Order: sequence, then C-alpha cells, then structure tokens
Amino acid sequence: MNKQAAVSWRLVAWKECRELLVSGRFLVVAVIVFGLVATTVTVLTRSYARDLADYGSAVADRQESLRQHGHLNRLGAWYLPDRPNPMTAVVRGLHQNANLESLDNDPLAVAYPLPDLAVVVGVLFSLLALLFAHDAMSGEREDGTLRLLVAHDISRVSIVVGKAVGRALALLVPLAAGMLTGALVIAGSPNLEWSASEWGAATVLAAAAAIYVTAFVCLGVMISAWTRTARTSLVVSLAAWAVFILIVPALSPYIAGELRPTDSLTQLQRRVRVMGDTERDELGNRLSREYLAPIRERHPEIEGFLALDEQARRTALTTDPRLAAVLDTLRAASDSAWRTANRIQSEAIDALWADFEIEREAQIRATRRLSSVSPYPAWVFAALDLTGTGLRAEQRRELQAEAFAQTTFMPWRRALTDSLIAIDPTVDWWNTHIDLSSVPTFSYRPESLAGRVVAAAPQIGLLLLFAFAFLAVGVAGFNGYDVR
Amino acid sequence: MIWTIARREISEALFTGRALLLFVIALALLGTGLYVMDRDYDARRANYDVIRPDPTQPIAVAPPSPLSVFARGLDDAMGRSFEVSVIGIDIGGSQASANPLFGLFPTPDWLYLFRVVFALVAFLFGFDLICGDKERGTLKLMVSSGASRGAIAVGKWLGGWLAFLTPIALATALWLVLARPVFGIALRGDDWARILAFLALAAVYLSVCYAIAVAISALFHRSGTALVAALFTWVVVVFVIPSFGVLAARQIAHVRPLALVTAERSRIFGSEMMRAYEERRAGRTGPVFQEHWAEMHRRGEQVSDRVAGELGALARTSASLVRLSPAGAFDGLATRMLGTSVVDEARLKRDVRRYTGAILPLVFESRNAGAEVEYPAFTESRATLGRVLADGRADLAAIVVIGALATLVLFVALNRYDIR
Repeated sequence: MNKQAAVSWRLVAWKECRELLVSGRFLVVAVIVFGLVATTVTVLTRSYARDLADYGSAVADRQESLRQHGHLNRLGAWYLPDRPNPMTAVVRGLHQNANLESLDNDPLAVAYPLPDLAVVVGVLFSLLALLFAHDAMSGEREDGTLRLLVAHDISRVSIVVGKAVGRALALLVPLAAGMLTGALVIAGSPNLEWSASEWGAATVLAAAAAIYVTAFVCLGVMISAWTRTARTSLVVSLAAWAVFILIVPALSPYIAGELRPTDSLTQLQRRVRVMGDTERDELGNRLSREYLAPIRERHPEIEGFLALDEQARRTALTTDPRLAAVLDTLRAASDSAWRTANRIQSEAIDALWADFEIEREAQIRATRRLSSVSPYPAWVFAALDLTGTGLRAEQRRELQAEAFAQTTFMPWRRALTDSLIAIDPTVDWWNTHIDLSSVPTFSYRPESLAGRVVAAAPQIGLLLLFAFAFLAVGVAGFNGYDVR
Repeated sequence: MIWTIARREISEALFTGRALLLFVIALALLGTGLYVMDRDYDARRANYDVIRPDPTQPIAVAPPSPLSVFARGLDDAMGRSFEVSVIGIDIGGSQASANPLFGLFPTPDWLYLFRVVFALVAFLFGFDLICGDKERGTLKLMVSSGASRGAIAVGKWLGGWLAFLTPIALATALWLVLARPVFGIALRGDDWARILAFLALAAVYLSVCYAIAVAISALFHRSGTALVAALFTWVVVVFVIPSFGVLAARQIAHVRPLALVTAERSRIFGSEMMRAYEERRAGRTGPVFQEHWAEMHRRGEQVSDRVAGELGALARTSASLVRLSPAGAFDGLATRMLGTSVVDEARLKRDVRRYTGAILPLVFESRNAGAEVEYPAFTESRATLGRVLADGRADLAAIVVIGALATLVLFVALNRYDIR
C-alpha cells in the first residue's frame, strides 16, 4: 500500500468511526455491550464471593466433622471441593456448578447456567459485530453514498480496510469501557483478590476478545461487499452467524467421535468398579489364604486366639508374648497379600484408563481441529486456557491430585496407621474414631501466566488469521462490486 | 384492503428471496439439530444399556427420553444411576459422553433453535415493517390510497408473519416427516401429542417475538435504529431476563450450599457408623449395624426433605420471575411438555427416594445374609400432557399477555406515527 493509500484508509476509518459514534445505533449497541460486560462481571464476582464463602464453610465443617467423627475407613466421605478459581469471576469454563455427582444437586444451575464472558462475547458480541458491519457497503450503495466515495481518489482496498477498521474501533469503545468497568468491579470487590498473574491473564483475554470481535466485523464487511442490499446482507450475516456459532461447534464433537471413536466411559467406569471392588476382594482373599496358610500351619495355637473377642485377645497377648510375634507375622503376610492384590488390580485399572485416555485425547484433539474452521471455538479455547478454567487446567489438576495422593496423603495415612498399631495392635483402628482433623489437604497450584498465554497463543493467532482472511475476501468482493 | 397489504408483504418476501433463504437456514439448522441430538440420544441409550441394572441390583435408573432429542433440558441429570445401599443413595455412572467439549457449546436442540435463533429471525423480520416502509416512502402511499392505519397494521403484520413463519413451519414439518426414515427416531402416540403441543407453543412464542419486533418498527423512524432496538430487546428477552430471573430468585429463596449439605450427610454417616462400631465393641449383640443404617436413612431423609423443599421454593420463585420474558415462559412450559424440566427432575428424585424406601428392607436383608436378593424394577412417573398444560397455564398466559401488549403498542404507535 503506498503512502497516499495508507492515508486514505485512515481517513475512511476515521469517518466511519466518527459517524458511528454519533449515531443512535452506536448508542444502543454501546448500552448492550457495556451493560452486558459490566453486569456479567458483577454477577460472576458475586457468585465467586458466594462460592468462596461456601468453600470456607465447607472447610470449617469438614475439620469439625473429622475431629468429632473421623474414621480412617471413611476418610473419603469427607470430600472437600476445590478452592474456587478467582478467574471464574470472568469465565466459568467447564466449572458450571452442575454437581451431577450429588443427589442434592441444584438443577437450575444446569437449566440456567450463569452466562460468562466466554459466552457473552462469543455468542452475543459476534452477532452485534455482524449487525454493526453488515451494511458497510450494501447500505451505502442503497443510500447512494458509495458511488461518491469511489469517485474520490481512494482505492477500493482502502475503502474496505477503512470501513472495517472504523467499525471495529467504534465497537471496541464500549467493549473497552465495559471491560474497564468490570476491572473496577473486581478491584473493588473485598472478597476477590487478583494477583498480577490474574490481571495479566485478564488483559490478554480482553485483547483476545477485541481480536474476536474485530474478526466478526471483518466478516460483516466481507458479506456486505458481496451482497447488493442491506436486507440481504442482514440475512446472510445471520446465516453465517448460525453456521459459525451453532452448527460448527455443535457438529465438531460428533464428527470427531466418528473419526476417533472411544470406548464408552460408562462401560469403562462400570468395569473399573468391578475390578477395584469385587475382583480385588476376591483376589485379596485368595492371596491372603495362600500367604497365611503356611503360618497358620506352623502355629496352630493362633486359631484359638483369633476366635477370641477384643478384650480376651488383649489379655491373651499380655500373658503369652509369643502370640504377639505370630500375630505380627500374620498381619505382615495379610498386608502383603492385600498390597499385592491392590497392586495387580490397580495396574490393570491404570492400563485400561491409560488406553481410554489416549483415545479420548485423540478425540478431543480432533474436535479442536474440526471446530477451528469457526472463530467461536478458537475464542472459547483461548478464554478457557487463559483463565485456567478449561480442560488443560483440569488435566493439570488431576496430575497434581494424583501426585499429592502418592507423595503426601498415602504416606501420611500409612505413618498414622503404623503409629496407631504401635500403640495397640489389637484395636481395629480402621473403624475406630480418631481425630483426623490434621489430614493433609490438597491444594491446586494454577499454571503460570506465561504457560497460559503460550497455551492460548495459537488460538489467538487463529483469530487474527480469521480477521485477515475475511478482510481479504471482502477486498476481493469489493473490487468487482457494482457501486450503482 | 388488509389482504392486499398482506399479499404485498408475502410477495416481497418471496421476490427478494428472503423467504427462500430463511427456509434454507431453517432446514439446515433443524436438520443439524436433529442429527446431532439423535446421535447424542443414541450414545446415551447405549450407555443406559450398560448401566441398566439386573434384578439383583438395587439401582434406580431411567432411560433417556426420546423427546430429549427435541429439548435436552435436564435429561443428563435425569439419566444418572441412583444406587441404593445400606448407607444411602450413591450416584453411579451417567449416560453422558466422555468428551468434555460437548458441554462447552450450546446444545443445538429444537428448543434452543426456536427459543434463541428463530426468535432472532422473528425480530429481524419484523423490525423494519413500518419504519422501513416509511423510509422507502411506501407508507405514505398506502395511507393516501385510503387504507386505514388499523388495516395497514393488521395487513402488514399478517403478511410479514406468514412470510416469516411459513418457511420455518415447512422446514419443521419436513424434518418431522423425515425423522423416522432418516434418523430412525421412533415416537409413541403420546410423544407425538407432546411434540405437536411443543411446536404449537413454539409458533405462539415466535408470533409474540414477531409482534414485539413489529411494535418496535412502529416506535422508530429509521430502520437502522429499529434494528439495534430490536436486537437489544431480543438480548433482554432471550438472555437477560431468564438469567437474571434465576439470579434474583436465588436472592429471595435461600438454598443451603451443596458443600454444607454434603458435609451434613457425611456427619450423619460418620456418627452413626462410629456408634455402631462402639456398641459392637461394647459387646452389644443383635442387628446393631442395621439399626444404625436405618437411623442413617431416617436422618438422611430429613436432609433430603429439607433440600427438596428449598430447591422447590427456588424453582417456583425462578419460574415466576423468568416468566416475565416470553422466552423464559416458553422454555419452562416446553421442557415440561417434553419431560426434561426442573419439575420433572424433582419428580424423578422423589420417585428414587420412594423406591429407596420401598426396597431398603431388602437391601438390609441382602447385606446381612451376604446373599443376592431380587429387587422390584424401578419405574418413574410422568405427568400427562393434560396435567402439564393445566400446570403451565401461567406460562402460556404470560406469553399471550406479552403478545397482546405488543400488539396494543403497535396499534397505538401506528396511530400516532408521522408517516412523512
């Protein structure tokens, strides 16, 4: 583009932007954009504050329950939900409070999920952008002003670029105002303290939203450059919106399911349950019998001891110290048998899950690739990666939870069990009340800002690509446009 | 005169290809929705076959409803497996897909398409009906040719309404006919009655959206301004009022956080089990554990009663507020017609609890004897269509009243409209 043309597109952009900023249409769109962003952030911030308060209550309640009713055998019953992610004040992602694993779930959370910025920007602002830009060429042609514009010494490329930039800038003004208001709401919220990392992620998110909206403005201008009347542009824009927002994202998982099928999760869960429960017990009992049989044969006196009740066993142990040694040998053999059973079944279950995860990963990758023909999924994936509310964060959480279980929780429970057995080996500690309030608690460590931005970068790049592609097709359409 | 004006509207829609384009869009969207939801239903049906209990399993699980193809609603929540044990009800497997990306994007069922997309089409078809004619100068011609303003309002409304609704109705009818041969969707007589009632309601809802749009077109003089006003109204009607209605209801009807309810259940479980072990250690004989399981169940039922009461009050308050928007009222009544509403989910939970109470002695017996027992099969109750329509009177009335108000605004605004 030569210098003259460069000046020209800026002039066109400035004219477009200025005209739009003083129009009634801008006022209404500004109210919608500003209102929706500010309201969504306010509502989600309040929702986060409530989640945080609920989490605090749940922690206190759990500690009290573990103190009063703690049982090693039922430690899993005192499940603690994760601490809420502060970024859910803008994007809720996969965390939608569905709680379908509980009988007491609130169905309204599923029937009417809270709208977040991913949905508001993705679904509504894309439509607003199209309606803002759909008549850029066709509308001016109908008004007769397009002929005047072309009559000036301005290249057609400059007109398309100028109109797209001008309309995008006009739409970005209320978007930026809404985002700033949202930021003020978050900064002023006493229950929500964002670190520099969260503010950084929010800034990149706002930039991604601006690129996404610009891509749809470019799409609107493109449609306008290929249609003759504003009414036709409007209907074609609506069709394009339906394809990009509804059809492509809805179809992608199903087509991916055909291309990269997985086993049924339900079937796998049922199989794993049987393997970890019935089959493990059968194997454990069989191995126990095998391991204990030689010891019982060598020490027949233990049969009489095992038939005694708890009090009588305690008395017998004090009077005959040899019994304690035999009992230790039996216990060690039994532990070894059950450890072996658990290991064998766990390895088999892990292998099943690993195979399933490979298939599932392939299906998810295929879904993402297929859906990348629309800007909407790219925006959603970028928003979820940036805010740590998507699949990437969920997988990271699972890895951390597994590592926590192996390196912290299990050793703690083993040490506690050993210390209790050392106190009194005859007591069934597994089913005896113990103060378990000191149980180590898992805490998720979110990914660094740099990691999240790197993860979202390809999606943001894709959004830029869409914007340029739409603009290029728009330029191609307008080069052959009959302005009469 | 009315029919002449209406005919002009229809021929204009046909001439400009708008009606044909809408037919193509509707055909593509409804077909895609049907294909996607049918595949989803098939997958859930296959999963149901996996988790369907045999007679020796004390499990309550409802099959996915074929009507969920048209309105998914809460069918996922209703397809969970409720597994009864001596200590209560556990949620086992579900019928949902393993791909988490399914939940990220809007479910393209027919309810969503009618409630959101075709409502938008209604607004886009009606927003310039009056002001567009004014801009083109044809409104002045009509008035000068002797047509009364009332006749213009009725004629344009009727013509535009037919031009907008006919392509959608044709596409819908075509897919209903093709649903069985193309997708193999088999519906019973009662299901057909429910689908037809749902589509009739959808037609009323879309007509009301169209009436609002036409009223907007008579309130503005420039179609550009009317377009954004129509869009603003669509956003408020379809998204803002339903979402914020539920939020407002949460401020009015208090529901205890799930984490605290879960903690309470854990406390009941822990304390009863601890007592049972202590009593057994103290030398007490007899059905010690069974007594505490029964007590656990009794206390658990008290919690369930309270939770159901709180959630019921929240659902009723939400329904009252959401009804302020025709989209909210339509959504509430349509999901009830198709059996996937909040009310149906609550009924299913009641059925599960009733079933649990009935089979609990058998569960105890099986556990004590360590032997398998045959349990009666779980059956879910379902409200008849007549009952649904009777209960949904308020939703239907809300839609009709809003439509009547919009029509009134149209007549008043057009009578005062400056046609120059």
